[in-house]
This record gives sequence, C-alpha cells and structure tokens, in this order.
Amino acid sequence: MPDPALWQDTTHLCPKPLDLAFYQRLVADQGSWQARLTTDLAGFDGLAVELEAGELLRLRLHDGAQIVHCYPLNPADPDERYWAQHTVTTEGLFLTRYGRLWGSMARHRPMLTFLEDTVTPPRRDGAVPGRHHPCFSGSSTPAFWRAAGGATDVPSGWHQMAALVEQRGWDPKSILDKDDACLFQKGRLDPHTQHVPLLPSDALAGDRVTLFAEMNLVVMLALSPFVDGSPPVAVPQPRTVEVSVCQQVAEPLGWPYPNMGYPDLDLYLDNAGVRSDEPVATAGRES
Amino acid sequence: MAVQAGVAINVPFDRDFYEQLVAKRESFSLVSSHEVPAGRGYGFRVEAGQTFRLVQTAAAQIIDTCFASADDPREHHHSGTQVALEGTQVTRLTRVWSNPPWNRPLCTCIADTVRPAPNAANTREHAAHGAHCNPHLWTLYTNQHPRSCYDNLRAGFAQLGYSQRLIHDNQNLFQNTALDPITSDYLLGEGNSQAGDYIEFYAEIPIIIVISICPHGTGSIPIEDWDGGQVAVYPVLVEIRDTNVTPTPWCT
Repeated sequence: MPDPALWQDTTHLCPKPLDLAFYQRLVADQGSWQARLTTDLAGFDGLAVELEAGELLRLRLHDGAQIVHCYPLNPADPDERYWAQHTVTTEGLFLTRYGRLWGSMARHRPMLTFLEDTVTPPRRDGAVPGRHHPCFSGSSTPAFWRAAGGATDVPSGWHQMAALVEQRGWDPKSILDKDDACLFQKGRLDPHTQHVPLLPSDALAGDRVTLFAEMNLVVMLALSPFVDGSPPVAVPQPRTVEVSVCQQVAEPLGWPYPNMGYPDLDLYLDNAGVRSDEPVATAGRES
Repeated sequence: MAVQAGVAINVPFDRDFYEQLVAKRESFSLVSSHEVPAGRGYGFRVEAGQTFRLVQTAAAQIIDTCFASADDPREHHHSGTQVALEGTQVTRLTRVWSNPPWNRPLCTCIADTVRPAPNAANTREHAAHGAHCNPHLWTLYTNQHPRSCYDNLRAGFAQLGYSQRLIHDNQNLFQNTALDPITSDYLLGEGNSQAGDYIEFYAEIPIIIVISICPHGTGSIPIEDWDGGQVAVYPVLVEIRDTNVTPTPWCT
C-alpha cells in the first residue's frame, strides 16, 4: 500500500491516495508561474488547448460568469479521455481545489488536478448550499439545450467540442461519448429528488480556476450558450474567458504512486499500447 | 435569500402511452428467460417494443447495466443527459437517454418493484450514474483482481461480437445510493431488494444490453474489507417479453 499519509480523510466512495503536500507546494510557488500562451475564448466555437505534462491551464473570467465545458483527452490515444462518472465516486459531484479529473480505462489515471478555484458561493445560499464545477451535468448536450428552449441555430457545448474533435480526424461519436466537466457552473443537489438543477453561477469577473496537467493532454473547451446558467435567450452573448497555459511548474508525480496495487494493463492493451479492440473477454476472467 | 429554482426544462413525455402499456402487462408474452451466474457478465439483444426484466433471484444484488443501440452501439446510455433530464435515480417511467448526437430515449422503465426503506440520506435503488468497479479499484484496495464489473461487461460485449471499447457509463441497478447534498459525495446503502424484485424496461428502439453481476454483491461491505469468499453474490434472471405494442418514434 502507498504511504498511509497519502490517504486523505474523506468520505468519498472510492478514495485514492493524494500527495497533498506536492500540490500545496505548487500553489505556494505560484509567483513563479509563467504563461507561455494567453488567448481569449470569446465565441461559441470552442478551443482545443495542448498541454505538456506539468504545465498549467488557467481559465479566468473576463466579463463575468460563463460556464466552460472542459473535456481532456490523451492526444496520442484519444480513447483515453475524461471519465466523469468515475470522477464522481472519487471526488464527489462538485470539484474544487485539489480535486482531480480522472481518465478512462485502461490506464485510469489522473489527467488534471485543480490547484486554484476562486469561485465563492454567497454565505446565505439556502439550507442546501449550491456549489460549482460539477464533474458532469449534461448541460452541454443538445437534448438539454432543446429541453430548456434554446435556439436551434446556437451550437450546444457538445456540438462545439465535436467540431474540434473532427478537426483532428477523430470520431466525435466515439470520443465525445462521455460527459464533460462544467467549470464555473453552479448546481444544487435536491436532497429529496436527487435532481441537480442548473443555477446562475456565483462566479464574478476575475474569478479563475487553475489546473495542473498530470500528463500530455489536449483539452477541449467550449463556452456554454447558457452563459452563466440562466435560462436561454434568443441570441445568447458569450462572455469572454481568458485561457492561459503556464510553463511546466513541476514534473508530475506519475501514476500509480509507489507501492500501490495496480492491475496488469497487458490484460487490456494491445501491442501498440492502446486499448485492444478485439471482441474478447479479459484473459482468465471469461463469463 | 430565496433558493433559485434553476433552468426550467420541458421534455415531451406521452404518459398515457406508458400507462396503457403497463395496463396490458398481463398480456405480455415471455420470449426468453436466462439465469446469469453470480459474478458474471451477459449480453443480449432486445427488439423495439419488447421488454426486458432483471430479476433478483435470492437477495439484493447490484447489476451494472449498459444500454446501447443495436444498430450502432456507439449510441449508448449517457449519464449527463440522463441526470440533466431525469435526475440521478431510475424508477418507473424514467427514460434511459443516449449520448449526443442522437440524444434520445433508448428504453423506458415500466416497472420497479423495489421498495426502498426511508432513510435520512434519501438513498434508493437504481443509480443513473456511477460507472463500474474495475481492476484499478480492486488492486488498489485489496491487491486482488477478481472479475470486476469492467471485466464482466467486456465479456458480455464480447458475447455480442464487440470489444471493450464499447463499454460505456452504465447504470447501477439495485444499487442503493444518493449523492450527499452538502458534500456531494456518492453514498452507498444496504440494498433493499428481495428475492423476486425486478426492474423492467420497454425498448424504444432495438437495443443491446450488457450486464455485470457486481462482485461487490449488494455493496454494503466496504470494498477494502472485501474478501471474495465472504461477500455474497447472487445470480440474476433476465427475461424478455413481447408486448405487441409498437414504440412511438422519437422526434426532436
């Protein structure tokens, strides 16, 4: 087992070890972070951002609250992509500082780790407080946009990311089949119905999130036509988000941590090191 | 401060159609019945207008369930759409939604006999999200690698001629769960289902279903305390029925 100190005190269903001190050191050293790229995401056309392992992705709201859909992929093997559903079991539904976005099988490793999250809900926010940055919500889907009465000529978050995926020659029906993280989005879990309605975000201009790349990534970003989480309007006006990439701040720790139980990936990967596409059961575990 | 209600949504739902369908259930004819052994996976096809029923044979047993289009299994259950339109839990008259760009109902739950015990955390059976146990979890917590749900789902897809790449985000049927409204943690409770309890879905299009009888049994034992010889895992019965009721095509 890894160092017991790496098991954080948590009530998550599927906790995983976290070297919190490593990330705290990175945050403490933020004065040295240097941007190598800064651009604005200002329209409903999305942006694909390349990150090297150890670099930072920072999203800063320029004009006020704006939901940003975030879907990281391994550019060398896009079958390895963000796995929102497993992230929920390890991190809870809402992400914040030191929360991790986990990748899919077969490697199933951290892709991005939150280092900063400045969004602050108001002190009086109901008996069940709203929170921000759900691991997933479905708000990027065309079905939800339609169900909310959104205009058909406005691209959903999914359609924006699908165009970015197609530009790389990948099939969005296969690659974009999982859910995206909804940054700056606010939700409130109804304790009785277990619904999570989309609420106007509490984020303000200047609020930011900063994420540490645990591996080489391409991150698909899309501005939500719900803008801050308000009901759709006929002609939604996106609010500009400043996107920065900071030079590598540290070598990632890698995964798995030392002395951690880890499966034999050869059971799942082919000779090219990607997930086998053979229609066979896992060796030794046939049904 | 008033609590905000959120963005209102309106998804057409012909409730009368399903009420009439359920009223005809005595006339449904059994097409097939198959018992899936404890701890294994199984894949099967259901035609549009048929139902499939997953029956608990002995006691509470979690069934990780994948739903995909038989015509193009890249279209499959999508937790985001599901949670956005139907909420995080599944019960009678909940539809199972597919991923974009299709984003339509694959099937509709028409029966759920489990009666969850009231509890402060508001857990109840049948989660619409939550993924599946996999070799990473088992090796991390137990240093063992039993047939995880990932392996069972892979085996079930292989039975249908498909690879592990089609495994998608499943539903956790008969898993007693909720999300904590304060911490947003995924909560897991003791299963309430009993022998004979079932959940039944009506196929809106031709679909393939792949299930895993979870090696975690009812999920009540912390996974780190899991011992393959001590956790009770039970078989599950899969029944397919003809309804002779044609689904209404979905149009956006």
